[in-house]
Amino acid sequence: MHELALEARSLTKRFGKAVALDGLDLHVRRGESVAILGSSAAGKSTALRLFAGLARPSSGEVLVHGVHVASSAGLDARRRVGFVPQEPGLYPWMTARELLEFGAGLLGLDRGAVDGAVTDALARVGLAEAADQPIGGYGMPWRQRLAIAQALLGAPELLLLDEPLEWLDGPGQDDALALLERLRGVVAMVLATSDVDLAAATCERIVVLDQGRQVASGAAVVLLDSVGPRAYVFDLAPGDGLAQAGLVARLTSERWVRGVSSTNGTLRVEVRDERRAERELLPAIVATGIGVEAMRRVRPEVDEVIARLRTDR
Amino acid sequence: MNGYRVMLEKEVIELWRSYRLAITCVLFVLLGIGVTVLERYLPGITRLFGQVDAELRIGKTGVPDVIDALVRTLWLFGPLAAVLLTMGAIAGERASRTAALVLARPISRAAFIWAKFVAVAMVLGLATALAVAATWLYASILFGGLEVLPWIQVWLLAWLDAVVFAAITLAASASLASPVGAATVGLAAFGAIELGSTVVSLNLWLPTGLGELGQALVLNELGPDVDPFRTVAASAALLIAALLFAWLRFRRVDL
Repeated sequence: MHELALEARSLTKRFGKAVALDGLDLHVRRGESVAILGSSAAGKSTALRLFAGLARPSSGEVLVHGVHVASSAGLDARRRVGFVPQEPGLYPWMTARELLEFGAGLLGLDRGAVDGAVTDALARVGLAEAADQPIGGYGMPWRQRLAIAQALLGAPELLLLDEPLEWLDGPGQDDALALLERLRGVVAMVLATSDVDLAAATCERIVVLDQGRQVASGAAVVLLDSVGPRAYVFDLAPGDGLAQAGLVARLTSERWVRGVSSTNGTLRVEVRDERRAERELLPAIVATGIGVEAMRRVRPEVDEVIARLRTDR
Repeated sequence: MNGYRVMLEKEVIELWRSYRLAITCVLFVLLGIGVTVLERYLPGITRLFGQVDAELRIGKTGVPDVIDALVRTLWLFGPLAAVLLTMGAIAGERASRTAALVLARPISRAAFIWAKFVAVAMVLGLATALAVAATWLYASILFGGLEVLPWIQVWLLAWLDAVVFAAITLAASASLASPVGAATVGLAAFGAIELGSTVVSLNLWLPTGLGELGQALVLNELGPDVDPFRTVAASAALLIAALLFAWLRFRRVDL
């Protein structure tokens, strides 16, 4: 059994003169989860389509479980790959159950095993009750759930997920995150996303792409820590506008604060020094007498991550 | 071929559920009945409309008129149905992104194309068979008993003619991202072949020549100068070339 679930060597894809992906090298071990992080048009989807054998590289090669994805042996290797495209195309005239049965048929699952596999996949994404409704009547969140379900058929050893949460509603996102958490370590995953939090929450390793080029790669925790601290977002209780303005002015003057913005009762504080922020930020707000209804830490947006990585280099 | 059987099953169910199979078959049955009835009662119909110019006077009609009308009808509606049924086969699946979902699975692109072609060929085969059977049945009733074998030959030739255009449109559908573009190519090919058929020596090599061959077979008028195999082989070669082109193009298409 090959140790690497996926291997991309100097993978390049050009569309005319435009370079969508430029010399990507990537190794994904069995059971490892890797995020390809980048803003739009960074080459993430192109990379995943190349991994799935849906597009031909301009140069370089892709090996899935040790075999070239474009070869006839690679065709067989696709039995162990599940792919969730960014905008899933599903036959509207089929029901969810029929689509999964069709997918199971293409995978060559035994007739006897199909029913069980389909029912299990539908249950895992919470579509069991809607299984016999035509897909044409599904909204995007259900379509996305179904796209994830079809990728789970046949117990894949490698999952290729292109923005898997993009079309999901709140509960759907929670379910999908729980599902990815359960699959973590069991199935190798490559997740293309522009969501830094999602990459951090679901993957051990992150590869950052910018305009088709790999600009950084490393363990998720280490890489994200290296790009600097997070921002803090507070939902403030309705109250004195003057006090809030005073708070913004005061925080802005602090050296450990990178920037402050306040809109519609939400205060966002980007910090330079996370330790001081942990110690001083909340007391500073409470001291003004403004009520805090909720507080959360957020990571920098993907563009900010890339900008900071560029600065570091 | 990996996944071929499952893909073909899906194609047939899709043709059924989208009513394309039923509509095509009903249309062709009506055409088959229509040509016979029209030919049989044409003199009466023309008389109903009063005085007819002497040059336009229509005498008694018979089987030769029926077969002539049938060939003209099938060699027009067969290719049109083929183009309409095939135009979105691949281009439509690319546009709706379903092709990516399917081809990420262990199914070869050859199997994908072949399943689509076979499904359309099955519908065209059934539709043309129904049209010919309807014509044969009504012609037998209205004009007396007719031999079956030549009519089966006409059906096979009409089917071959239609699937040639299905293959050409499929090749266009595999190459272009738009079903409308594929239909345009299919119709342009139909126009070009119709134009080419006006040259008698060229017509023997074209799918349009299959019609004349079928007519001659039914009327038992196959002359010594007519080589059925040449005409059939030329159309079969065109069909194979179009399918090969479709595969060569589609295997390089990024999804």
